[in-house]
Amino acid sequence: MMLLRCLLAEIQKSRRSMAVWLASLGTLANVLIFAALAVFNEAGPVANWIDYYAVHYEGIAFMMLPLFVIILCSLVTYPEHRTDNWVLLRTLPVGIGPIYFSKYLFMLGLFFLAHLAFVAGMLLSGTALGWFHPDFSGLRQMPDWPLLGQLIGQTLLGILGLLSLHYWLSLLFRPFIISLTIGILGFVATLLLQNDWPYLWLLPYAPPVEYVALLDPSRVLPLWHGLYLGLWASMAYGIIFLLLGYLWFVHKQ
Amino acid sequence: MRYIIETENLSFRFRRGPVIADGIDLAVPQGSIYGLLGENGAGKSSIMRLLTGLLKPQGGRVKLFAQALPQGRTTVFTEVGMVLEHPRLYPNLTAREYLKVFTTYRRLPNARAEKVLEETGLIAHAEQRINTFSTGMRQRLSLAQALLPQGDLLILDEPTNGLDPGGIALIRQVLQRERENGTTILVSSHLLSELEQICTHIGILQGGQLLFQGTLSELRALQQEALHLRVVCSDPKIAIKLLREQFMRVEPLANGHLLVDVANKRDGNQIVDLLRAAEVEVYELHPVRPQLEDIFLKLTQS
Repeated sequence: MMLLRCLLAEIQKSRRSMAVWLASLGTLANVLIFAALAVFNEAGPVANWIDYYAVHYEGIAFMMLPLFVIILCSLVTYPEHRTDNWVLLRTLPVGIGPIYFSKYLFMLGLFFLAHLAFVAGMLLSGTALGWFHPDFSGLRQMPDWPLLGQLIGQTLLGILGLLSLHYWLSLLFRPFIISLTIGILGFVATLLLQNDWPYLWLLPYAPPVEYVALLDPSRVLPLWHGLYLGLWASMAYGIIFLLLGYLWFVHKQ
Repeated sequence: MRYIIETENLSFRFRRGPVIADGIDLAVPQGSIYGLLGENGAGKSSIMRLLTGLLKPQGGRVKLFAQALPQGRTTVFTEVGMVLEHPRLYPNLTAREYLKVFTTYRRLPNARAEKVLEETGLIAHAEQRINTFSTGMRQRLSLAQALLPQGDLLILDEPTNGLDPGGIALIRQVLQRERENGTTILVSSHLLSELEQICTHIGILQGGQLLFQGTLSELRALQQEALHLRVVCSDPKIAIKLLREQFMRVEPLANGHLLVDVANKRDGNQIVDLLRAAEVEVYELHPVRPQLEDIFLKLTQS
């Protein structure tokens, strides 16, 4: 109950907040950018929904998604740092645990909603192109729902490690820029290593890069493919960093 | 007498920092308005953080409502409202939205937010964004947040910082009303003049020690005991030299007058005799009662 109350308070606090602006305007911008990319695709028109998904998911996986998670974590904790409101929160009749975990749940929920909005935008723009653009007639078919479900699920599981790590970092470092720099360095390192290092899946930044492999329907991925290993690693990191962050948060308070 | 806040030999110092508490035994009686007075940097805010478990004491104990902290923290804080120094709040929210965040945390009805908006004179600004608020309005909103729980204890750290006279008067009114409703109030300030108008009890803090703790009338009794004599004479320089050999404090004032701390009025004779023996003419000699402010300065400077 206490966790629920804290989560509700987090939602109330987020009105007109930078995190909500980022989630809503960022999602809208992504939908428009990737629809435009599909239209002006140099490789020719998009023939079916899988290709249309690929334009969108490859686009977000290679930059937008990790950046969004990293910035989101900083934006959610920043108001408490800036106003030193952690102190005030500690004088409320709620425990440290609910305060800490409600912020995490809020970020996870906001990410999930933003991603669902992105998917809805993608489906809407694809359907509209299918009906009004002659080159996109393949999009008049029904979308590939199972693949879409898999993409959504794997996106959500794939960011758990990243979210927990950057939540902790954003609590650890007050200046926004430190967490952002660590995130960008981590993500760039993952991109540089993606073709050469077989253990890429060990990096918490890897799952968004790896799951793009799903978008090639000609490939049957073995269970030990980096994508699946990365998802397990992401869940494990998600738990480990969340708990480490909690212990640090309790110690700091 | 029941004490709402009690500390026993409370000790704390920041690493490589000044001593904040050096064996403090603070006792805030139920139903009182207790003013914690100290100069800037005396450690009032840190003491308040120690009292609420936000800082962990290095020695001694803190009890709130007869419960040791931090074991009973969550239960105890249903009864505590707190105003921190320099509140910055959430600038993206309106005053009403801000208070609703705290009614949610505290599981209170939303009507409570409306009530405290009225009490603090902010109802007309309820829909105004906090980022457009003046310092005084922020201070009032912070007080409104502290009033939400209608608890048994209010802890206010420099609540009148940045307030205009109207705002200060309003805070005074609110605190009196809360006290009449049975709330115990601990308020810190560096201004005695401000505390003496509202407080029933005073604690004077300096160098990590409580130099005085008692009722306002006990502090005033100190004022009655203390006495200064104002001396106007022909040669203040020689007079200062002579009088400093006999009296604790001789302070030169503007226009050549001297202020001498004496134990009683009869010491005036000794002053006259001393100065006449040195052929210094005494033109005027009259008693001056020190203000509470002087008592505070005397306590903290000694």
